[in-house]
Amino acid sequence: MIRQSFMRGRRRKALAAATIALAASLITALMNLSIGVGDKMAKEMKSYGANITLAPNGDSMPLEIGGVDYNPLKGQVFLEEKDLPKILDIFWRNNILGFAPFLRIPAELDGPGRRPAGLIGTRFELPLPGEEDFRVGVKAINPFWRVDGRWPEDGERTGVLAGATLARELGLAPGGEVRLKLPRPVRLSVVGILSTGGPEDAALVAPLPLVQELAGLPGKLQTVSVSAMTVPEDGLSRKTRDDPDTLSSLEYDRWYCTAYVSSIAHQLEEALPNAAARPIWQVAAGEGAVIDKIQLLMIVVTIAVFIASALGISSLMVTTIMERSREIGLMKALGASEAEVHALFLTESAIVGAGGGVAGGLAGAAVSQVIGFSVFGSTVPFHFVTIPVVVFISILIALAGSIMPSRLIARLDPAEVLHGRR
Amino acid sequence: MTSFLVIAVRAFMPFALVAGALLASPSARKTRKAGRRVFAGAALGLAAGGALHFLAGSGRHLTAVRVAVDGAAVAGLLAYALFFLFATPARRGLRKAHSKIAVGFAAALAAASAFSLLDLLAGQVMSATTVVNTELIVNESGLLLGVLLAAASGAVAARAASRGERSRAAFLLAVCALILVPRGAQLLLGLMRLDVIEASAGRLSFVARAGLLDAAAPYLDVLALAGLSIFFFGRRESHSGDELAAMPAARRRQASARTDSDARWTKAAACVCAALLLALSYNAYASRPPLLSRALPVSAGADGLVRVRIADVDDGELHRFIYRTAEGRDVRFFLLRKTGERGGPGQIAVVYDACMMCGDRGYIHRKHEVYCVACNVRILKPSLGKPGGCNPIPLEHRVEDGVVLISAAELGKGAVHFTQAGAG
Repeated sequence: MIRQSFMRGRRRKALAAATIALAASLITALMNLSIGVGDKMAKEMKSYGANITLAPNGDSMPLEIGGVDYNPLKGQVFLEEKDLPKILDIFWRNNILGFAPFLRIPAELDGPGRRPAGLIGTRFELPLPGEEDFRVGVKAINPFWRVDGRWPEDGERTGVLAGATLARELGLAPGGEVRLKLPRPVRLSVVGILSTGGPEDAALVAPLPLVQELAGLPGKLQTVSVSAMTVPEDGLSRKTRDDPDTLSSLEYDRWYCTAYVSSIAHQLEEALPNAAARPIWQVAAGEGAVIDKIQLLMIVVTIAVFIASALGISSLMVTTIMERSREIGLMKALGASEAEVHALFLTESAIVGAGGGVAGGLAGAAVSQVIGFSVFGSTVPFHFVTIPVVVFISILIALAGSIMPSRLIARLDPAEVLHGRR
Repeated sequence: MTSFLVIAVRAFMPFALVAGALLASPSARKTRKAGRRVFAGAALGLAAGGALHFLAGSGRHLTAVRVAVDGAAVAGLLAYALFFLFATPARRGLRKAHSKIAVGFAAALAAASAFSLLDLLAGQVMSATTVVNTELIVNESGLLLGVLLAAASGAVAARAASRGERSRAAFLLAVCALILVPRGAQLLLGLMRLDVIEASAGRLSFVARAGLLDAAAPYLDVLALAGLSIFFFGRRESHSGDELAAMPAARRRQASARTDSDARWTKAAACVCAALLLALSYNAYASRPPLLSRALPVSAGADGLVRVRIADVDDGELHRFIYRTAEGRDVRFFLLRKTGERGGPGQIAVVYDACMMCGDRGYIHRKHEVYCVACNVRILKPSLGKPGGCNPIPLEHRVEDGVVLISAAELGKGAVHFTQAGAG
């Protein structure tokens, strides 16, 4: 019966489907773009490893552009290098994969093309007294750093690594030399070219004691990067982040005894005096900030498009019902209940909505690719979960638009309609 | 996704079944107004339950509000049951009271269901982040599907219960009993927590046993629904071919329409019951904790030493062993060859299969990583054998000539970490 009823008035139904398809394609395009980032963020927060940065408490983060720190050193607070072994005293010591200290000072390159360059002091592979197989340094926590040449020794006084970008600009190669003014002139020999894909590519990386000596800050550090093996975030860790005062003592114990990032960070702060620990969510920090705004936009657009399409469907439905009023009167005269006539029309509506949703979903996939090309210059992966969501929303639009016209069905009296008075 | 679906079903199916049975009562069927009142009461109850959970916060306040909500539901249930069993609603005055009590019962139960849903959701998180992502969508749709499935079960119950008063009464009684026991136990637990009633061993054991019933309740609810549907199918309208031919045309069409409708509703009932059973059992299967690998029994030699050859455990896999102490306790421990620096062979870790904090749930070795079963944390392989954190407790041992020697006395000391008495 639905099939027969469906075949009537196909043109009007096509128009209704097109309205919904338009709405659906817009929703699909936006949803496809934002789900990609949402998935990446969720995956990052669910992963088992994390980086934590320790910085001196009360220190404003240094202003770094291109690896160069533009803050003056005077007045900055520092961490002590001698406190570093305390990191391995915490409850979660067995989850610490490694850590590396950093001291960054701004320097000026001497010679032709004077320009500022950052000098980053760090450890490469220093063993800790008392720990047989633990090494402090960037080699442990950044396994993807590549060196063309060799790594400097931890006790070296003149060997440095040049970042790949900097080396390309100045034409440096392993075995070459670089002169700095600090303000006193210093000559350092380049023992390797470092590629990291990060800000270190535009700076010089040197052994920590060398930088400490050049800066006149013996035994001091600015930050420590800790790589720890953690448990994925869940409800308890979220609650501790958002609402720490409402934790019961049982929940606090559970949180402390589970290797969440926040729990390990908290214990690091307990162990090191004057340190503030912050987990690094790379995707969340970068793209996450933008995606929050895109998500708000998406919700607003969805609501607006929903209302507009529902209104369009509404007027189409009114016309349909008016046209088929005799048919409705006949059905009622034959004994159909109100609910059954309503069900017939709403089912037709829902099918039109679903069809429009599928068409719109496919169109929206194409639109999101176009947007991806023009904005990001690459294809955007298509997430199939958008299709069921969009079909569901389209059916809702169709049903929402049909609620008001359905009231007309109730007002049609079979006797009046069949007689022809209406 | 199925875990959220099952949460929604657990919270709402009892309420949906009760609402369906109430709507199928003779007085509700006569006038549409009675049905609408039940719906309105239920909607109000749902909103109230949700709002109360949100406002209650946590800790003692939450327990107090939960006690209040559960108390209202139990009171409503008992009031309706008493009325239903002992008062005949034939008299006019009683009919109004009956309808009011029914609406009150529906509303209180709705509030308790909404409150339970939010309670069950409080421990879970839909996704790691609030930004829209696939996991969030899948989990939310699981929740929505669960609500729809519960509503469908209620609709089917409403249709099936309208066939006969006695079947409706039996069904209502069964479902109410399945609600009363777990919710009553939860009420009792809440009252004990608030120190209104003294906690006693007998009461606590009742609460614990009722907890077992709570786990089985959804299956029993589905069973009750299936029973009602079978009864409905048994009493369906059916005419033989001759009877139909003998009827005037209009009556024949009406009779066949009713027969078709009955058949369709029965099919719907069968689908709903099948879907519920599938979801419940899949979820029960999927949420089992991981099984530990088999532990090889070992015993001490005459010199009181347990010997394990290194050659037997040198393949980088986790080898579990179990030792029965003199007192009859089972002590589990495992050996694992770690990878050393630069990929070469490292030391052999000899550790108890238990952790200082989480007890003896054990460790599993999956995809080259060791995980603690109790708290799901990944253990850094190089740190196996060192004490602290979630690491397995180190076991004193000696290595001699390619054989690991463990003293039985040492294993005896380690029995304190294990809870299982030796199985007979």
